[in-house]
Amino acid sequence: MWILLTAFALVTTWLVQNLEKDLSTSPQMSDHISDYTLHHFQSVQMNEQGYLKSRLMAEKMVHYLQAKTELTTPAMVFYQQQQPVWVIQAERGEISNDDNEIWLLGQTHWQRYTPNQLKELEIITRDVRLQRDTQYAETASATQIINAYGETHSVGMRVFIPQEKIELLSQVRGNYVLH
Amino acid sequence: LTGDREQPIQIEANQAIINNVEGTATYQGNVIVTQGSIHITAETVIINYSQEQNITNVIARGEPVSFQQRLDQGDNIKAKAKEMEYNATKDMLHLRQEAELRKEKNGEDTYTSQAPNITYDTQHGIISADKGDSKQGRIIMTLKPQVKSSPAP
Repeated sequence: MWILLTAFALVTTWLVQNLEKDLSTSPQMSDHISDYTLHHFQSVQMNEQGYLKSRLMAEKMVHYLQAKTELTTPAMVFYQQQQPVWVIQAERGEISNDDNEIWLLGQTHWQRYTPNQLKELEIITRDVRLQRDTQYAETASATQIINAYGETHSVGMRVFIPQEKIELLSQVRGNYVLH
Repeated sequence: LTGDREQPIQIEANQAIINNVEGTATYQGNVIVTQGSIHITAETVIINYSQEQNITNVIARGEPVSFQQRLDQGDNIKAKAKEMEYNATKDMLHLRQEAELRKEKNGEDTYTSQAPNITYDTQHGIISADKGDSKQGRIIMTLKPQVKSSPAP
């Protein structure tokens, strides 16, 4: 009788352990469980005066329990005096959990507009890390800057959007035309 | 050369900072600037551009800055100074601090000028020198007379 009971206990313990294993998902798996998805996603940030500061848009946004949020064809717009000044588009993107760090991945295309909405500057680079609150961006990739008087190439770039300052970090080559 | 001005300006450097508000692009570290036959080497080069994004002037600094240009008649202009300013709209090159400018033909100096400041009108080939602010500054100009070919005996 005891033998039967012991055998029964062993079998049920083995069954329960197996069941738990099946039910539990690997850590990587639980990271990538999406809890919600948004299409034509928009997120707007206002400044202290209540004016538009930045707008993040994406065709699709997938939010995960643990992992970073993923974006499809994101676009980041920075405003000054209610006018869009910098527009940055990318193939895909990611947002950190605190919503402040954004990675614009793959080829990214930047355009800077003058107050009367003329395109004054274009930047083509890849894989940009961006801090939304300080409006600071950086990349270690090759960079191409095109403006009215010529073209500049570099490897690595830092952009300080409020100060309108672009630092090119190495291998700078410029080609300009005198008008 | 006369056509230099129409040529694009090429710049190489280690780093650069473009400041849209100030309208400046600052290049730093082994800077080389070329435009046609003009060749400048410097430690720092600052390009100033106007609101309409046209280049107005270029300032180069170095220990020293070196400038070289070939002239239409075949001479070479070679200049050195701690600071050079090229005014693109007036075609004027200002050499400041320990300025030296030489005209050379077939490897021989035909003209040399040393002064605190030298101004070179690249369009008309006019060179002027001044002492600038320095009290002790001296202006030294040397013109090598052209050797007259002696008439056949």
